[in-house]
Amino acid sequence: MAVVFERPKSLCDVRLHYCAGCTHGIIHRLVAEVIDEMGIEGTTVGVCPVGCSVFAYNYFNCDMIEAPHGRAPAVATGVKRARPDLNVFTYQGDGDLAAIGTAETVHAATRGENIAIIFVNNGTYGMTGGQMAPTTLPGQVTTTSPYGRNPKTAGYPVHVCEMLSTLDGTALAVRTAVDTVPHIREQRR
Amino acid sequence: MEKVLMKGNEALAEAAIRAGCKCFFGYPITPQTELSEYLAKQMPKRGGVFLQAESEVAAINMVLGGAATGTRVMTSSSSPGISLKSEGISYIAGSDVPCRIVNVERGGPGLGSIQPSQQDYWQATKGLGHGDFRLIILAPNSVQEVVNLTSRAFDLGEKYRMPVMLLSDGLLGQMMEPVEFPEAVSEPADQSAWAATGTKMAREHHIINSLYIEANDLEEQVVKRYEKYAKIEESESDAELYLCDDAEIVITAFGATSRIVKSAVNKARAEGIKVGMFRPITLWPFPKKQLLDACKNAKNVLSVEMNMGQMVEDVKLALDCKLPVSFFGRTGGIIPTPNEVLAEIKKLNGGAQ
Repeated sequence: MAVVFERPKSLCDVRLHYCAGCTHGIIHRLVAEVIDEMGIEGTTVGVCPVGCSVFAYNYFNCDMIEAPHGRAPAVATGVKRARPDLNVFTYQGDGDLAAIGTAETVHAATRGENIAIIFVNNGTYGMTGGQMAPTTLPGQVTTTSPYGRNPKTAGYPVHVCEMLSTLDGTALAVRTAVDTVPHIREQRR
Repeated sequence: MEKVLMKGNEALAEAAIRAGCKCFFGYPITPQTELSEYLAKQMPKRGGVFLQAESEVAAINMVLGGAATGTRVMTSSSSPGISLKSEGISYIAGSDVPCRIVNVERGGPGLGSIQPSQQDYWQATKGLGHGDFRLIILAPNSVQEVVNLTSRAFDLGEKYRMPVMLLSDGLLGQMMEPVEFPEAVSEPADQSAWAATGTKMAREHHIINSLYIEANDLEEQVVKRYEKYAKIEESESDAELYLCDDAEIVITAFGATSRIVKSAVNKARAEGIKVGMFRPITLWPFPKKQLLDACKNAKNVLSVEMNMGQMVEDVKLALDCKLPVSFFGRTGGIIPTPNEVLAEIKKLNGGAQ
């Protein structure tokens, strides 16, 4: 029988820890498929965040570094500057990238660091149990905005792609969803 | 080899390049700025990377990334900046990655002052970030020793896969002295067994990580690291003993302060007082055995520091109540004078005169 659907080579053959319904698995797969297609697994170094995807180093088959919370773009900068021959990506959630790591994100972008940042935005701090994130929508209920995010006291969500698009160093900033099959196919492109 | 007159900070930067440092990540802060400026000029011309980071926090994480590839990487800062770097230093220690960190100490706490100080002894030797871990701390006392300890710092870091700190201060950083650069520089050790350099599809993937979610796994890692620390204490502790053989008073001092103490010891000797100086070159591991040896004929020990009394605690621990230990220090950026130290020696030698 012909095999029609395989695990990408760049993903390890292990069980993921993510909750049912979580899209990290889909996004891991998309990243791994792209690494496979480009044939760069052997020269790729990934940098993981603190957050739900903290264990991504166990899932991607390339060399992996675990960064402190929010610091992945700085760690990736160090890797790329020390070894320009390597392909470097970070994989970060919204708390990691748009709150505690805003400075690292903005400055890596404005320096035009030759790295790829995979930004996974679910609008909440998932790992710690659903607190308000920098991307939580106005009115959205979380454990630390139990009456809904009130912009008068908690401000507005950060528009990461729009913010980074204003910087001359950013090569590409795109935003897509992974909620439906057509969207997933679109993201893969 | 001819001697050149150089500022401590610049000599340190030159020595780092000669020792094979390939990347420097830093953030401007007084009194270490000349070090960054020297590397900003030289690194691009000599095949290295100089990058001014957006913050101390980013700089130390760039060090983590660069060092994770097995490259010789360095950062430098001064006291408040080292506080900011402490998160990253804890991660670097927990990930068993070698790197070199320079602290050109200034006065504290808070913004403190920009004058020389030794107020970061505790921070360097005991409290640099969260968790059970150690750094090797080297404390030079001259511009020449700054140079000599530079390649040793890289070698030790690679040998034990851990961060090494060179603890300088505003005095050593800013003063100029004749200095000679050694011809032979150390070669970077092979880091391919663990470094993140791409699998080349020829090996299992390497993971550089400090997270162990199972308590048993984390305990095992920490205990293993402490076995390594025990070996370092056994074989890497280093100290200078000056006129200690017959000394009835031994003065302990590190870094720039030891230069002042040496002058005071010479003055006291000229007056017939049997006094010597013990200077730890490694602050961690603290050279306990060498201190006991230095104090074999001592009746009194005096620790002189540019702080309110930090190393004196390690001196007391090492001597284990065998001898009375007193302290003299100036702080806040004030440098003690040889005459002040001499007065303290005379007090111990049977009262003030």
